[in-house]
Amino acid sequence: MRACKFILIILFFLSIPKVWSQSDLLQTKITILITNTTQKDFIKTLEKELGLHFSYSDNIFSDTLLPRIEYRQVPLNAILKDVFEPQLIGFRQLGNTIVLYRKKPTIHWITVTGTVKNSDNSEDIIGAAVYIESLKMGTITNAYGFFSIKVPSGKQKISFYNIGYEPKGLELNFLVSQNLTIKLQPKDYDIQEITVNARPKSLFLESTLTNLVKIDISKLQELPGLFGENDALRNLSVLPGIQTNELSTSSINVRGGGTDQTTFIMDEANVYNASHFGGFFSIFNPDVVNNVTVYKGDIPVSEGASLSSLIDVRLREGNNQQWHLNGGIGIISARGLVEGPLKKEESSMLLAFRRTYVDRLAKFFATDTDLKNIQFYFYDANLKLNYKFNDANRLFLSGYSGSDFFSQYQQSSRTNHLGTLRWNHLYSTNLFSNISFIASQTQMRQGTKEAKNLLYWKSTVTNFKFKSDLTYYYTNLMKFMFGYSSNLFNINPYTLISETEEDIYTRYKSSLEQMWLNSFYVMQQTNVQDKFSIDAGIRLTYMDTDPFTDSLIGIRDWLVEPQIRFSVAMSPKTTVKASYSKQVQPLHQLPISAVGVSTSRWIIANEEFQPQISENMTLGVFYKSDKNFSINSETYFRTMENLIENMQDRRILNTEDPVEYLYKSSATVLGTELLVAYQYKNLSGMISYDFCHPLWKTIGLNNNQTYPASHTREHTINLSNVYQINPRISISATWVLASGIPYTAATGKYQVNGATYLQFDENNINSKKLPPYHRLDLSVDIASKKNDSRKWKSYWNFAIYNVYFRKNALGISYFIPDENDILGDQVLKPGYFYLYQFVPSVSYRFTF
Amino acid sequence: MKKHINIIWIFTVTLLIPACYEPLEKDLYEDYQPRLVIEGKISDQAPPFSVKVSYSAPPDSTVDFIPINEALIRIRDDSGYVETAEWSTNGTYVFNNLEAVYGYNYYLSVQIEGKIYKAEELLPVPPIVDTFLIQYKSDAIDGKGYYFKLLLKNETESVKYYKAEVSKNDSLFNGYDDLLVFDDSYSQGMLEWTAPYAFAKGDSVTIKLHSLSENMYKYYYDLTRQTANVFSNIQPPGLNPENNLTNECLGYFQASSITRIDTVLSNVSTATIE
Repeated sequence: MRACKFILIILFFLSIPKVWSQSDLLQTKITILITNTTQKDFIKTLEKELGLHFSYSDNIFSDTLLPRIEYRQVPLNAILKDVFEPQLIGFRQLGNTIVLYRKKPTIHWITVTGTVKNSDNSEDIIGAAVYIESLKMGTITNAYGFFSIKVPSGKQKISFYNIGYEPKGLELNFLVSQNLTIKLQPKDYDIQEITVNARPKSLFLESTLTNLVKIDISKLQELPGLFGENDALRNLSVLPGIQTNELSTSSINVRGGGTDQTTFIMDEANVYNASHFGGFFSIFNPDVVNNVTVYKGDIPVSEGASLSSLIDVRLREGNNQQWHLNGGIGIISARGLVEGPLKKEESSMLLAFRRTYVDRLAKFFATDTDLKNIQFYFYDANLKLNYKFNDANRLFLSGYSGSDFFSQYQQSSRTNHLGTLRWNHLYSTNLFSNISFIASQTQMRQGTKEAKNLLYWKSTVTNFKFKSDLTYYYTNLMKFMFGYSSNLFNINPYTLISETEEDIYTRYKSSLEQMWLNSFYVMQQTNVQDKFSIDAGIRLTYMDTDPFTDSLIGIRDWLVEPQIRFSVAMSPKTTVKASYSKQVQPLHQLPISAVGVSTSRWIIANEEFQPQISENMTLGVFYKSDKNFSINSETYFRTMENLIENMQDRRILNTEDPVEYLYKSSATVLGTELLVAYQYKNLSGMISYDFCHPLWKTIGLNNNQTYPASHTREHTINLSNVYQINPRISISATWVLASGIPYTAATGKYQVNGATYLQFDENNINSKKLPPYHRLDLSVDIASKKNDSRKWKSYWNFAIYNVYFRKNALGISYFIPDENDILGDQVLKPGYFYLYQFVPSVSYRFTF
Repeated sequence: MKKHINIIWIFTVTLLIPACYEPLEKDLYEDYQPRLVIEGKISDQAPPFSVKVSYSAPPDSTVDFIPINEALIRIRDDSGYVETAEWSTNGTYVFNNLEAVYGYNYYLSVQIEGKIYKAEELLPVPPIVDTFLIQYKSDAIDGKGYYFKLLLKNETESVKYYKAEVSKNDSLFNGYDDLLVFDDSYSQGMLEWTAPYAFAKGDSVTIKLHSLSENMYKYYYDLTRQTANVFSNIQPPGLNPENNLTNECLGYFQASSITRIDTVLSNVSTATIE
């Protein structure tokens, strides 16, 4: 039924003639009563009764009836404003005509902040995507799970995604700024998401980040592990561009760089030696690790000072909902963890401990006196505390202590102590701050023990750091990060001590080496509606290598590290990306021994050996289909200057000036990485291929010509698959095929000092390769039967490392013990050595 | 080094992981490249002193060296004394009359096929053995038995370098990884050194302690890198030990002074130190 529409004009009074003048048309005062009419009919009546001319499109009006209202002697423009402004219809006089038009809506923006957490244990989720459907844009949570995003007022759909979690979508009515706490439910294993592989709609957010790898630690625990220990770092080698050494899990080579070019940080503290037992395990207890982010080049400007890669390990904070007890035992070590709320939702703590027990078993069961007297073990201890004062302030305390110890007639040990105090503060809804005070120390010690007398040397690296980082969420398109850090390094390379029951005497102490770095950085990230993004930043560091004296010996100089990244969406499924970065590392690590208790010496850059510099260029393509299939491909080229090659000689440790053992080098690396991830029903997997061609050039070696780097396998193929048989049982398999390690051949033998030695071809360094490396690992993971009434959950893992007994050459020995020699002397018999042929393991873990 | 390897082996066995070894001789060798090797030794002891000159042999051959029998070898010292070595046997030449003097520099010259190779070394003063002790240990890494401990004195500011040769019943103990080179850095003038062998009563023990130059100390240290590399490839730089000879040949020229200790372990042990 058509609405009754009429306007009752009670009184119409004109103070001017009926011929409207141009200038005051809208100022004309009229008296009118509006009731039961639509906007369009209202205009038509004004035209008919008052002789006004209106110009408009019919579609700007709605059919809504106007409310009843009476105007007496009110200017026409006021009436039109009153009637049409709520409907976003504007008007303007043009000559004798009043033009009506649809106005663009004035958007009222609301800032939404919050944190994204794991629903099981309340841990902050780092790098989760926060996406606004209507805007087709979003943001990513920072290292504390925090996000800030502007949304139009009114009802909006906001979605949350992250690797390993069920996505969550919320429809909320945003009227005022608000703070959300979002909890995401961990989901079942999906190896596809080991890569940076975003959800379809937020594809662009994460895929823009070249050279970045985010690891879901909980899922890596289900891959086959060595000795039943799923080391956080060992399994990184499934990813292209990252090569780990089977002997030393923390000896990581990223994109052709040396192991000394990878920096480890744990809750923002530098870790100078990240391995146990000469590298069999890393110091990162898998139960405590929350997130591992690997930067392959493009080190964030907020960190800097690392040449090839940064491995950023963030630890869990502890469950602030409930108390839990976790633990596990493998064939090498046992571990336990207790966590829980000190004040529910506001404060929590976590205490974890891990230790090997093999030495205790050897002591108990061994009959040989030598074995009985041996002590060797490692331990890790983590303590975390945090407190949330209010929505704008959180305080975190993180402590770590770990050690490797070996003692028989000789003693070796290496300890790490780290401590971090961090304060998160929200200045406003779009300005987030983190301030950290960090201290870390690594100490190595080796010596001999005779009765109760010790003679040993020790070497210590100590680092004190202050960091202030600010993130300003300017708009949804753009955010800025800037900050300052002050970093003091103290290195005591060599102290010789003799210790008796009565006394400790320092026989010798080398000069203290110090370096003070003061850095400023700024970075902006711009992301235009899933189409285009650009990140650009710069880090400036003032380096002073003799900060507390007036001497002229030290270097005082500025280090500049710029970087830029572009991403362009060629289609909704395909992104092309490119990046350039320059990195500077002023601290050189000289590896001396990687086996046993690993030893190295750190030296600060000086006039002779300047800070190392790398320049990195990357070009990449990312494609994700609708059918659970994605491809990520990157090609890169790197140059490195001011590198050091050192003779792996223990004398480097105790010499004041190691220059005579050092050689200057430079390098270039060309490489390509391809990663294909897929999922089909219960099967998830990935295939990766890595081509890496690093060429080193060392003054005084190989006729000053380039030669292949000693540490990199040129081709690597990796297949990893997980099949979920049922909700309790999964099986996984990993197969690796890689080129052999380069080595320098022997071209003759000769006699000196009554013995025969080999001569090496120093004009063709690393011209040969050991046999190819390949192995297959299998594992089965079985969870206890589901019982909702029981808090105790347990998991058994059965694994076999190197199933088909492959003898993978890890290195060459030229001399082996002579079985026929009574004294056990050696005989010249070159060959390669291998480890880990068919290593079965069983491990058990529980949560309570 | 042996101790270190033993520890590594115990370490790995206890971890239930046998470290395994696969011979791969031929594949680890590249085409043969003969290189000249000169090994010359003189000391403060009575002559003769020998210089051995050879070419290196193919790595997989049955011989360890190829002797050179047409070399012209001379030595002179700071006083102007010059002597030409006489050929003795395969690749070996001897100086029959040279009496080396502490503090003199000695200049070796070897001429082969028109090319001359030179080296220069200072003859250091002999080691000063301040004290010599024999200790019985029932619990030591090298086994139960009698150990010889020397206290070596250094009254100068500079570091002294040593090499020990230990014999038992006239049979030399030192092996590949027992070159027993050491220095007295950080010992503040009195270095304690214990021979890493356990002896039994009745053993006749000789310790020949050489004073070396820093060059020779580094050479021997570098030589052990071949035998000491366990679980990793020998890495450049320094694949071939750096020596004190010119023109990129292998080998060395050593001038050392010797202090000798002879003893027979009995109920009342006495020792002679020369």
